[in-house]
Amino acid sequence: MEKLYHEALLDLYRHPLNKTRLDNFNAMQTEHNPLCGETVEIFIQSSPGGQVADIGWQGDGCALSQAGASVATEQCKQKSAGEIKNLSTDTILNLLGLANLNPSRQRCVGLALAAIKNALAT
Amino acid sequence: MLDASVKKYFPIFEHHPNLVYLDNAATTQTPHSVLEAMSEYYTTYRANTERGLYALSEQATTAYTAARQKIAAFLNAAPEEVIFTPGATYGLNLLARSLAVTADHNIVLTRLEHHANLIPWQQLSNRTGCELRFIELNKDGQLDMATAADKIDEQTRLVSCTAVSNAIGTIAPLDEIIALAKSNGAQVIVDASQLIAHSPIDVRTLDYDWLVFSGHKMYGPTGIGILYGKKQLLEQTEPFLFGGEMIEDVNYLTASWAELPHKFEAGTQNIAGAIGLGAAVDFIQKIGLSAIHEHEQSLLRYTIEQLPEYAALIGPPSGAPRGAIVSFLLQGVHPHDTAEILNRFNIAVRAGHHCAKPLMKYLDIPGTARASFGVYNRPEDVDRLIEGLGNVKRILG
Ligand SMILES: Cc1ncc(COP(=O)(O)O)c(C=O)c1O
Repeated sequence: MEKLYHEALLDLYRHPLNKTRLDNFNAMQTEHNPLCGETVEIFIQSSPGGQVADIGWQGDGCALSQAGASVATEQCKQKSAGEIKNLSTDTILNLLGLANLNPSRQRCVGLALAAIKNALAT
Repeated sequence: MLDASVKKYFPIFEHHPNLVYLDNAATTQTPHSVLEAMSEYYTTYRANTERGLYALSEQATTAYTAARQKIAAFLNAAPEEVIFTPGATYGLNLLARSLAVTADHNIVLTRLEHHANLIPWQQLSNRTGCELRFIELNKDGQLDMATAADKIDEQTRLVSCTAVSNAIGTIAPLDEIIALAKSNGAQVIVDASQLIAHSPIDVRTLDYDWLVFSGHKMYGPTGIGILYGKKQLLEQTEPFLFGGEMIEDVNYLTASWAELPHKFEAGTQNIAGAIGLGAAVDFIQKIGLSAIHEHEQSLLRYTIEQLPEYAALIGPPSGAPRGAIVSFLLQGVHPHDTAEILNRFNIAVRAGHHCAKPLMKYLDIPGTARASFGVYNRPEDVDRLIEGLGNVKRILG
C-alpha cells in the first residue's frame, strides 16, 4: 500500500514542479475530472520554433493529480506539439512507477497531460 | 443499536468478510430476501405484466401490483399515486418535462441539490425562460429560512428540495418549506433519496405533492425507483413517455391515456426490480424504520465523537441534526487520497463532490470524504474508519 504513495510521489505532492501561473503565455487550457471535481489549468509559452519554452500549471487535487501535473509539465519542456502528441498517460504512469493504477485514478494522473495536448491543439 | 446478526442478511459480507462498507448514501447492499424475490420471478413465473391472459402473466401482474401496494402502504399513499420509475433521476426529469411552467414562473431550489435535482430545472429554464432561485445556507450548513421566505413568492410554481443532503447531511425543514410553498400556491417536490431508508415518511401528514426516490438506496435493486404524486396532481399532469401499456385507446392519429398509475408507465416495466423493491420494503419494515433511525444516529454520534482533531466536519456542526452521513476533510489531504488509502484497508467511503459540484464551490472546498451508514454497520466499522484516518495522516500528513 505504501507503494502507491511512495516517497518520490509524496515529494512531488508536497513540492510540485512548475506549479505557477505564467505571466506570458500563448496557450491556456482548463481540464476537469468529473469523477472527483478536480480542475487543472495549463499555461504554455511556445518558442518561435514551436517548442514549449515555458510551462506552468495551477489546480488543487489529490496527490496523484499533483504528481501527474508535475511530471507531465516537466516532460513537455522544449518539446514540439508533435512530440507531445506521442506522450501518453502511460508514459506519466511509468515515470511515476504507477503502472498498475486502477483506471479511475489514471484519469487523475493524466489530467494535466490531457490539458497540455488540448492547449496545443487549439 | 440493531443486533449484529443483521449483517447475516447480506451476502456481500460473506464474499468480503473484512469489508467496512460506509458508502450507503451512494447505494446500499442487497439482502438475500430481495435477491430471492427477484430470482423467484425470473425462475418460476416470468412473464410480461398486464398483457397475457395466461396464468404466468396473471401471476406476474399480481406480484407487480402487490409490490406497488406495499410501497404505497409504506408511504401512506394510495397505490395509484405510486409510479414505478428507473430511479430518482428519472422521476425528477419526468416532472421537469411534464409540469406546466411558463416564463413568468420561478422555480425555487436550494444550494444543496444533487445534480439530479438541478440540471433538469436548468434545462426547463432554458426551454421556458422561467427563473431559478436558490435557498441559501447559513454558516452551519443549514437552510437559511429567511432567504426561503424571500425567494418563494406568488410567481413560484415549484419548490424542489432534497430532504437530506447527500453531500453534507443537512436535514431540510420540510414542514416549513411545504407551508411556505403552499401559502404561495406553489407545488413542492421532495427528493427523498437520502431519507427513504432512514426515517419514516408519511405523505399525508406533511401534505407532500411530489416525492421521488431510488430503490437502490433502500436495500432494493438498481434500476427501480418511485415517483409519488398526489392523485389530483397526477391526473392533471401529461405523461412525457409514450408507448405500450400507457394508453386507453389508440388509432392511427390520436391516443388517450390509461388510468393512473399506468399513464406514467409506458413500455415494459422493470418487473423484477419492482418485485425486488417490494421485498426491500418488507425487509425495512421487518427491522423497523425507527430502530434503523436510532441505530444509524448512534453510529453517527459515535463517529463524530471519535473524529480526530485533524479532521474538519463539513455541514451541520457536531450535535446538530443530520442524516446518516458524515462528511469531513482531513487537514492538508485531498479527499480522493483519503478514500484511496482507506480503500487499501478495505474501507469503502466516497470522496469528491458527491454530484453536488456547485455546492462544493459554494462552500469553497475541493470536495469531501463521506461516510454514510446503513443497517449492517457496527461501532467496529467506525473504529476501523478512525484507525484508517490515522493511517492517512501518517502517510500524507
Ligand atoms: C439526494 C439525491 N438525489 C438524487 C440522487 C440520484 O439518484 P439516482 O442516481 O439513483 O437516480 C441521489 C443519488 O446519489 C441523491 O443522493
